[in-house]
Amino acid sequence: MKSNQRKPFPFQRQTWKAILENQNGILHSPTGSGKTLAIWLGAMAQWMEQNPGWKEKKSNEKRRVNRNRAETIRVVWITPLRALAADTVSALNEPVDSLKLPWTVERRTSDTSSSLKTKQKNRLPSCLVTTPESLSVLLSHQKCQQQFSKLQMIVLDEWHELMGTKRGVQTELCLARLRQLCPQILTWAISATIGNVEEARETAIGECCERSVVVKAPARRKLSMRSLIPKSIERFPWAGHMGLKSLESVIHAIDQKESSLVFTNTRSQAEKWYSAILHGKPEWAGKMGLHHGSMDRKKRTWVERELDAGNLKCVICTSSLDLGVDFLPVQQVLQIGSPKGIARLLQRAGRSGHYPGGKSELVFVPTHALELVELAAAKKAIRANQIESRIPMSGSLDVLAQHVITLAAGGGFNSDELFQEVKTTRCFRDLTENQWQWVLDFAIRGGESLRAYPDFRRIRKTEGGMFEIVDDRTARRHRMSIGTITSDREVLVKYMKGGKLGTIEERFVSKLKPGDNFLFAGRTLKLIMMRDMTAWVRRAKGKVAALPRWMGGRLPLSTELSEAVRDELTQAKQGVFYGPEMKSVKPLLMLQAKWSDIPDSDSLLIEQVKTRDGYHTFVYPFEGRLVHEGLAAILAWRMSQLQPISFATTINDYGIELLSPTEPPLEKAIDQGLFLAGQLMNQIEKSMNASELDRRQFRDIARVAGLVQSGFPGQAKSSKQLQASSDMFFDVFREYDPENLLLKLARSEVMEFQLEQVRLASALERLSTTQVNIQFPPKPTPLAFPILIDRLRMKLSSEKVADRIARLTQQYEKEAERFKGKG
Amino acid sequence: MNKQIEIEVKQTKLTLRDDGSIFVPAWGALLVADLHLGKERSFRAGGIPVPDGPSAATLELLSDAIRRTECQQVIFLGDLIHDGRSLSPELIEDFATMRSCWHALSMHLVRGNHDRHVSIFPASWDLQVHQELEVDSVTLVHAAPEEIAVERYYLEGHWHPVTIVGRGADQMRVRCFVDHGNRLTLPAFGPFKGGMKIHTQSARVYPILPGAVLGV
Repeated sequence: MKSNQRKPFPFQRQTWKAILENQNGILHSPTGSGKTLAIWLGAMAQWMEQNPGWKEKKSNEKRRVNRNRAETIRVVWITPLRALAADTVSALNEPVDSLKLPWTVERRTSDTSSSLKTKQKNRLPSCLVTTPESLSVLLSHQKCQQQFSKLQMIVLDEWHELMGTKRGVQTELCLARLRQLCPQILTWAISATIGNVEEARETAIGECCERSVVVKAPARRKLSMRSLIPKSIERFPWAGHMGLKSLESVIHAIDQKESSLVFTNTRSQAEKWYSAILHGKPEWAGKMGLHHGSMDRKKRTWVERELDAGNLKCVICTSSLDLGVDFLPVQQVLQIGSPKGIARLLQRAGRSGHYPGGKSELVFVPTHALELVELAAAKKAIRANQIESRIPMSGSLDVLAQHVITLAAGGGFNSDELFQEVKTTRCFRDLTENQWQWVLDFAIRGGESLRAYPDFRRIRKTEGGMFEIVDDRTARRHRMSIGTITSDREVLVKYMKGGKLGTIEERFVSKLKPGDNFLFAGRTLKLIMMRDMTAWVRRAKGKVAALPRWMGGRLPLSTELSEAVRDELTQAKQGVFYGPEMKSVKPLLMLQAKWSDIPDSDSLLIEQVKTRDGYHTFVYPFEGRLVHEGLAAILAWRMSQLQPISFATTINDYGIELLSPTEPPLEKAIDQGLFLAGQLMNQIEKSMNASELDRRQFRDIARVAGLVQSGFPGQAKSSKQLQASSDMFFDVFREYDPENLLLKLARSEVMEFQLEQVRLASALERLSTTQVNIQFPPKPTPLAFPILIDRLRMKLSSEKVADRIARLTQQYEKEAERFKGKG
Repeated sequence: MNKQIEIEVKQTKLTLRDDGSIFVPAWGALLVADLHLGKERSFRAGGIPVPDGPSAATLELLSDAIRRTECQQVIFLGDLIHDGRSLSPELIEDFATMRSCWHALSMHLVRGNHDRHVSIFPASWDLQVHQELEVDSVTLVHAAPEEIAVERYYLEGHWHPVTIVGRGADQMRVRCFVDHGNRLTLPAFGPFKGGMKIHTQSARVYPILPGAVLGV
C-alpha cells in the first residue's frame, strides 16, 4: 500500500483527526488521489480506538475472515456507479488485509449474486459498498433495517455526481433513515471540486452541519491542454457529433504515447470511434479496448485490468471511466467533442499522468468548428478557477413517494414520525403538511383520496396506525422498480453460442429486423432473434446497418461555460483572436460576420432565414440550454399572442430556433416588449400549457413513480400487456384525471427546474437592456447550422386546429400530386 | 378536406372514417379493430395507477359510429379486450348496456391474440365469435398471414399503425389506415392504445386527423 511507504499528506491527517473527533465532513479536491484512503483509514482508526484489545483477540495468522464472525456492519460506502463498486471493494480491502482487521468488505449492487444477497440479508459485512438504488432496496427489507443500528459511518463517494440528480435525492432520504436507525452515525462525503462545496456539504450531512468540517486536498499535478486543430477550417463541418474527420490526427496522437484514454460523450460515438481507429490501425487489434456502461461487466473488467497492466495502447470510453481508481500507465487523455463543462474537462484530464513526476495531458478533438471556441473558453475558465456548481434538487415528490413505499415494505412506518424524519434532509426541509398528505395519498391509493382508483392499493394502515405494504407481491414489484430512476428499458445482448455482451435499449432493437447487422461492444453483430428481453446475435461480417443509440446522452453545456463562450465571441467581434483555437476558427467567424454578425455581450443577435421548412427565427442569448428551453417557450408564446401562428422550437447551448410555417410578427413583438421581464410568472404557466413542456418532464416522473415498467434485461417474462409509453399515460391522465398528482408534479418540476424563474427573469432582464440586432442572412449561418440540424423540437400553436389541418391537407395533396407526376 | 374516404377493393366499396373505423355499405357493416377494453383495469391490477375512462370513451365512440353509419352489424377485428383481468363487472355491464341499445344489430368478433384470455364472452354481450370471416373475396381477420393468395383481400387490425404528417411546426404523429395492396390495416379504435410507426415504401397510407382522413 502506497501510504505505508509514504508520509501521509496533510489533508489526510486532517481528515483522520476530524473523524476521531467525531466530526462529519466533506473532502474535496480538483483531481488527485488519496481521498478514499484518508477517510477509510479514519474509519479503521475509529474502530481500533473503540476496540483497544483487538490485537490480542487475533488468533491465527491465516488471513481469512469468517463472514459470520467478522465485525458487524460499521460502514456503508455509497458509490454513484455500479461499475465502480468492484474497484472500490478491492481498494478498501488492501489496508484491511495488511492491518489484518477482522473486517469483511463486500459489495451490494444489482450485479451481486443472489446467494450473497441472501447471506447479506441475514448478516451484512463490516463495510458494504453499494449504490443508492441498492441501499434503497436494502431498506425495503425489515431484517436489514434492524442490522443497520450498529452502523458508525456513511461515506458518499464522488458525491458531486449524485447531488443535483434524483438519485441524489434518493440518497438523502436513505441517509435520513439510517440516521434515524443509528443517531451516532458520521457522514463523510468525497467530492471533486465544484463551485458550491458548501451546499454539497449541506446535502450530504443534513441537519448535523454544525459538527462538520470541509477538507480541501490540493491538486498535485500540472495540466497541459492542446487541441487537434483541423488543417483547413473551411472544410471542417459546422455541426456534427462523430468527429471522424480528425481520425488521422487522433491516431497520430495516440501513436506518440504509450497509453491513452479516448473520452467520447456518447456510447454510440465510442463504438464508432473504436471501429474507425481499428480500421485505420489494424495492427492495434488486441491492444485497444472499448469501455462503456452498457457493455457486460466481464468485458469491462478485462479492459480495466489490461489497461492497468500497461498492455493497451488506448481505450475508447465514455463517462464510464470518468470516475474510479486511476490507471498508472495512462499518459494522455483525448477528449472527443465538447466536454460540456469545465469541471468535467478537468476531471477527465486528471485521469492521466499518475506515474511519478507525470503531468496530466489533455488533447481536445473538436467534432465541429464551434467547439474550438468552447475549448478556448474552457481553458480561460480553468485558469481563472471558475468551476461549475451542482445545484441540488429540492421537493422531488416522486422520489419521496417511492421512498415511502420502500419503507412501507421494510417494516412499515408511522406517518408523523416519517414526516419529521424526511424534513431533516436538505431536499425536503420545506416540505409542507399538505405536500406530505399528497405523497401519502399517491403511495397508498395512486391518487388523491377523493378520486377513486378502484382495485388499486399498495399500502394499508394497520390497527396500530402504522402504514405497511399490502402484500409480498407488491413489495417485490416495488423493489424491481427502485432501480429505474434513470434507465430506459434495456435488453440483454447474447451470443447464440452463449456469452453476454451487454445491454442495449429496447427502443433500438425494436427497429432492427432479424438478419440486420449492427455495431456493439466493438464488434459487428447480426441479430438472429429477439426473445425474452434478450437479443440473440452472431458475429457477422459485412456492412453495418445500424449503430445503437442510447438515450440520455445529452449533456447540457454548463451555464459557466456558455458565459465564457459569450466572452470569447465578444472579443472576436472586436477583432481579438487569442490562442490557437480562436485563431483557427477566425475564417468561420468572419463568414458569420459577413452573412450576419458575431454576437457579443452588449447586443442580442437575431437571424431570420426562410427555407422550404418555413420561417426560421434564430435568437442567440448564449445562456445555456436550461434557460433557453424556458425562453423559447416564452418567446413563442408572446409572439403567438399577436396573431394566430404555430411554432416549433429547437434549442441548443448557444441559441433558440423558432420555426413557423407563416411569417412571425417579430418586429411588432420586439416593439411590444418581447424581451421584457414583467408578467413572467403568469406567462410561464400559459406558455407551458401551450408548449406541453410538462409532457417531457412527465417521462422521468412516470418512470420513478413506477408507471413505465422496465422489466429486467434477460428476464424471461416481460409483462408485455402492462407496457405503455409515458406519453400515453400523460394523455390518459390529462383526459380522465386532470387533477392527477403526477401531472401536477410534472408541472411544478417544469416551473422549478426548467423554467427556473429567477434565472429566466435575470436572463430577460439582461436581454431587455441589450440592443437587438436583426439580420437576414442568405442561408443558415455557421451559428445557426448546429441548431437547425438538431431536431429536438417543442411545439406551440395559437391557430385553430381546423386551420392547421387545412394547411396540412393542402401540403399533403401537393406532395401527392408531385409523387403522381413523377410516377 | 374529407371527413371520410371511399376506396374500392375486390369490387367492394369501403368507407375509411375519421374515427378509425371502416363502413362497408354493401354489407351494412361497421368494422373496428383493437378496442382493448378494460386496459385501465388490467394496469391497476398490475399495480399501475391509471384512471377509469378510456374504455367507457371507446364504447361511446362506437355507439356514435353506429348511429352515424346506421349499420346493421358490427365486426370487431380482434383484441376486443386487453387481457384476463380486464373483464370487470363494470365493464361487462357497460358493454351490455351499449349492446342493448343496439339489440337489433348483430355483432361479430374475430379473435385476436389478446382475446385468448377469455374463452367465453359474457352472454349479455351477444357476440358471435369467429377465428376469421370470409365475405366474397374479402377475409376479415385479426392479423393477416404473410402469404396471401392473389384472388383474396384481407382486412386486419393488430398493428395499431401510426404515421407522421406535416413538417416543422405542423408535424404530428397520427393514426392511419394502411393499404398494402392485398391487405388493409385498421388503426386501433379509441384512446389509450399507443401505436407502431409503419416503415413501408410500397403501402398507401391514409392518415387520420381530427375530423379528416387524408388521401389522394
